Amino acid sequence: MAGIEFLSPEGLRVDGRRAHEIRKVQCKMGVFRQADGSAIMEQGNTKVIASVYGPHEVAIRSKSLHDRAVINCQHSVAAFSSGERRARSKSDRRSLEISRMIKETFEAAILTEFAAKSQIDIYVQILQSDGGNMCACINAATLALIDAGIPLRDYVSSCSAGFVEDTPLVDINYLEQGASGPDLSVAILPRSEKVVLFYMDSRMHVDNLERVLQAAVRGCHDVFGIMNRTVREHIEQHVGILDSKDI
Amino acid sequence: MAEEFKRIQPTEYLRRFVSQGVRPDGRSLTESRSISVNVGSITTADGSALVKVGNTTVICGIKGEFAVPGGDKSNEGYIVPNFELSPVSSPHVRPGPPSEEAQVISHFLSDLIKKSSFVNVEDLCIEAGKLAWALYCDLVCLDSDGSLTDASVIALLSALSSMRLPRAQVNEDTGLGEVTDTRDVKLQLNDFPVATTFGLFDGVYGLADPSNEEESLCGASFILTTSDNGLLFGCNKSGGAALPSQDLPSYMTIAVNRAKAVKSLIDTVCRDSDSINSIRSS
Repeated sequence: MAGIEFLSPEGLRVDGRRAHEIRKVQCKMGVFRQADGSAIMEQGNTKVIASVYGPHEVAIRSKSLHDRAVINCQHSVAAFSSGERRARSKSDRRSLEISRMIKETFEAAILTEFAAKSQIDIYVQILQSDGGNMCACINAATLALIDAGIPLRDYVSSCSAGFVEDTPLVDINYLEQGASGPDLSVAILPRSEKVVLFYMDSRMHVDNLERVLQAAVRGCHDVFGIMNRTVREHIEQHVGILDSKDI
Repeated sequence: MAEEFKRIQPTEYLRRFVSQGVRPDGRSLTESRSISVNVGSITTADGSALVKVGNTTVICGIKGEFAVPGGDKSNEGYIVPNFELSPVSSPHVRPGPPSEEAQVISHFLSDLIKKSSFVNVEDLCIEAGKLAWALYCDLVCLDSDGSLTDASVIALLSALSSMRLPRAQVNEDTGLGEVTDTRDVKLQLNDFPVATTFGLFDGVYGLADPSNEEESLCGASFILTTSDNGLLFGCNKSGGAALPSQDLPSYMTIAVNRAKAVKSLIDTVCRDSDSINSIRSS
């Protein structure tokens, strides 16, 4: 888009942030009664809710696995969520692709051996979309899984990064996504620093990859800090005891 | 002990409460759950509302688009409601095309808009025969705990009341519609029809605003749509256990009182939201 200054000479982005700053993150767990675990995640103007059901009996018997749990994920977008109303059907390719990526991300993070022959459902619903949707979905799903009490190898925290004027931008919003630069989404297991999701479908010179990846991973750590605090506050409220430093 | 009894004999469990005039959650038979309304939380939509009736949560987002008024209705706009049950809402909702329940509620809302005329579709016309607003009202249920129709109607009313559209006109040169940046066009609602669901338990006890558990144990349910000024907009009962007709007036009274409470709640919320917006923009 011509005319928009994505990075001003003073180092400010379109929404006033600096290149390394993530958007304001607000999250809450245990928001719905029907679900076993639920969470709402807001990163800037992107609002996502996630619900987890399970472990429960596998819906389709033939898909049941004898030694681990089956993870099922569905991602839906509300019609009013983006600037243009789009009554997207649930089976359009982009939705299915994102559902698949979230499912595979969590297959790596959930200790599926603890729930053999059963199924865990993760449902994410996007209420408001302003860039970084998939990352917000993954973060919301992590909190919902923790709320449901499903054993995880580690948190999965996710953040996106772009690249403008030789500077990596962390946590890009919808406007910045529309710029012709790259849009890299990364999800990591913060304590072991392992990458579980790595997705980019634009163009970038390979020399810049390391800096953009580092920026995105730093963003993931920032988000992880907030999610960790939220989980502890939630537990404190509901259980009232928290004396160990490392859960 | 009570938990086990509830699991093994859910109907008898409920009967023990209802026969004494209360329900397991402490409400009386005629009492509805508490309602909370939040408007304007979805900034990408022209109007939005998040409504909780007890645990049942429905969010409504309205987006206005330009449309050409059709044929003999050249001075009317359109209001198109669409309700869907998100898989997030309940373990029984399977992903896929809208279930029967969702379609029934969509149809209920569409009928309510068309036949009750609680909002004038002529107000949505920008220029007769050329341009009108089409309001797409998308409702998503996020948490399903009974009486979805009630929550959907309240969400729709709240979103319509708090919606602010930009001023629009037809550009004389291009013939296309264009909008200004200000958002001050409000929609005037003539009435506030509020739906109240009742579950009929044991063919005798009418439970107002049943939860999911109560609905599943009731032999029938019926919906009364009333407004705060005592008008009846609709009654729906499809089969199931028979309802003693002499009880209807008392159910109507409950429904009208609930409609009054809902209207004053929506009015308060919209007024507060307006004052917050005017503080923000000044």
